[in-house]
Amino acid sequence: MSAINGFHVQNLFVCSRRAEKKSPSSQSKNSDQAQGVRLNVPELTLTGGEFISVVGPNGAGKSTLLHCLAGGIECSGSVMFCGLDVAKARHQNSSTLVESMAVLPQSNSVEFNFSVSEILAFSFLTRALSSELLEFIQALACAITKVEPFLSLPITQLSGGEQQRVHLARVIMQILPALCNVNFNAVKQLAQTLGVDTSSITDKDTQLLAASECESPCLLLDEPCSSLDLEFQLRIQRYLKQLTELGLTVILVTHDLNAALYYSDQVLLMNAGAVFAQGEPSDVLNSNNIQQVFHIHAELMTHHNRQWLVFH
Amino acid sequence: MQQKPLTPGSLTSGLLSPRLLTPHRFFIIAGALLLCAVAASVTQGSVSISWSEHVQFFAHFFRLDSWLQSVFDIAPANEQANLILSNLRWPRIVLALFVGACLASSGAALQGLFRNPLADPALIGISAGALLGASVVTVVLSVYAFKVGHFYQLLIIVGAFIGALTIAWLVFFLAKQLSSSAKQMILYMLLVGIAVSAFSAAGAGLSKYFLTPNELRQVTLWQLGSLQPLSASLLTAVVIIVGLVVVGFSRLHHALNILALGAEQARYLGVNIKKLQYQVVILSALGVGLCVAVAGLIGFVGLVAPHCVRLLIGPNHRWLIPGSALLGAIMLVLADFLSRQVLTAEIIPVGIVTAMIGAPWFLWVLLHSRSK
Repeated sequence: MSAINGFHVQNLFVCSRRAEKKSPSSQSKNSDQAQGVRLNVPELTLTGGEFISVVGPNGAGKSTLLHCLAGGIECSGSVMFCGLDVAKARHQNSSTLVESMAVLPQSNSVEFNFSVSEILAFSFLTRALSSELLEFIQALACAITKVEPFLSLPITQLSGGEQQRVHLARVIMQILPALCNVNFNAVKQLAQTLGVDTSSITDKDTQLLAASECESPCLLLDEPCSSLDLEFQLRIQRYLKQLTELGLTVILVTHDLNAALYYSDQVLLMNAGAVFAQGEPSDVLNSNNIQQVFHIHAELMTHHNRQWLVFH
Repeated sequence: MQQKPLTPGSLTSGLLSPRLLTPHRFFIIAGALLLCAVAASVTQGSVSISWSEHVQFFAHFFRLDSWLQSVFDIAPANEQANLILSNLRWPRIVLALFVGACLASSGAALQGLFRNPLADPALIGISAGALLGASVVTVVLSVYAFKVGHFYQLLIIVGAFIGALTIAWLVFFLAKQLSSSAKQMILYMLLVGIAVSAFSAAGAGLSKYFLTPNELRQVTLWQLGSLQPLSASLLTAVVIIVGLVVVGFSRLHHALNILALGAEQARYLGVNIKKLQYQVVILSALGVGLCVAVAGLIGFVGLVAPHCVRLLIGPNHRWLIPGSALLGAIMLVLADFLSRQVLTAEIIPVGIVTAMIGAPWFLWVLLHSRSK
């Protein structure tokens, strides 16, 4: 995958609101935060088609970076994605951006008693696809997150973790048409391994997928696994990894360093509003970096041909 | 497990979660109820009018009386019954229908916009702004004793309109200055709205001291909400504008549905939140400004009707907005019917009836829905 399909960030800078107003009460332990900088990224390139984990302590600017990449908050500097200026495209409500980038913020709550299937259908606002294809996409997203039993229930009757799975299914559904556009046969194969019926899809349905300029659609997730049980933490990350192999770019904010080490193609370690280190997981998550950023003594070990971080 | 196919269409059809009624069934029942309410309201009153007189009235109205007389041997219309129906009863009922529909659908759209089932046109200052505008015009006309005759009502409507739009714009402008994101904007609109409404209500109260006792009585009755008969041309204007407002709200159902996920999430799904805010606020200022100008402050319809419809058929705005309009119309026609039945000599302001029945009923609905 070429870098053109990923993100290219230049001179990204976000001030905290407190600093803008020059309030005297902005005292913080951290020197950078005291000056009112929430995020300062001079240059950053995130390759398309990779599983990228963003890690760092609380308040390091992980979520702010994610929202800047998605064009959800105002920031100076430029974020380019698939040849689009993200802030500008978001401002103009570009349907290309909505179709090729799905974002799941950290906290999700639904007002009013919508049923789960109504909520899942919200992902198709801008699409005109055949009903067979939409059904296939819903079945695949539901199989990954195992939300089929809830489809007819009101969302407010579900537990927090179950609601989070519904929202994950929603963003996966939002991005799947673009991914089908990139590599439909591979998506179909993945669906078959999950037991989703693909026989109803014809070539005519796939022709409805508009040819998009973006060859690597992107999923931006802010701590999607924080409220999930162990089974789903592993399941979701495993399938996200499989989707990246089909061409999806996944940018995942997480606190699970061992998962980041195992699943990521690239890790972005952030601290105090800046990128502390970026690169191969085992290079970035070394004991030296972890000591400096998290103030924890960690050791990188190999067990069953897999690297693990052990904390002391 | 066999699931229903999911398409944008299936969002709008079929019962997807355990709700009391399907949308189709709801519309059939509510339509029948509306017909009953209108029938009761048009026949009963200080003078009761028989069905044959209604037939004669309609025959006269559509200029078919000579034809009916020759074919079915029906007598020409009774003058008095005709006058009551054409000048008093039908204008009142049509006004009640459209004012109720407008208030309830505005309530539904504003609740969707604010993601809050307690939102109401009164909450962001629209009603109070319209009241202030109309009061200022009344005072100016009274103090300078303009002889405006027919234009009196029209000028008051224009005043209410300008008042509602000005206050809506002021609330918008202040909220925009205060907030940094779409999410905060909605919170600040509510807070600024509360402050601005209190100010407008005080202004409208102050204006009463500039009026003659006779005008004071009229203004007080109007402020309590009353469906005085309007001239035919004004009534037509109300019908057209309310129709446009309800259709306008209905067209926003997709965006309002997605907004239930939150402002941030809706933005990432391609909803233009700023545009949606402008559309909903301007449409409700237009509709509610008009309603306040012609019928005064009628509370509770905008709050209760959407709430009940949501309990019955669910929160999907595709059905919620027309459903609320229908239920609002039923509620106001029934309230008007009651307001004419309680005292024989006088008509109680309909706003008093909606509040006196609406508030306990709303509490009952809340208790009932909680026990389930």
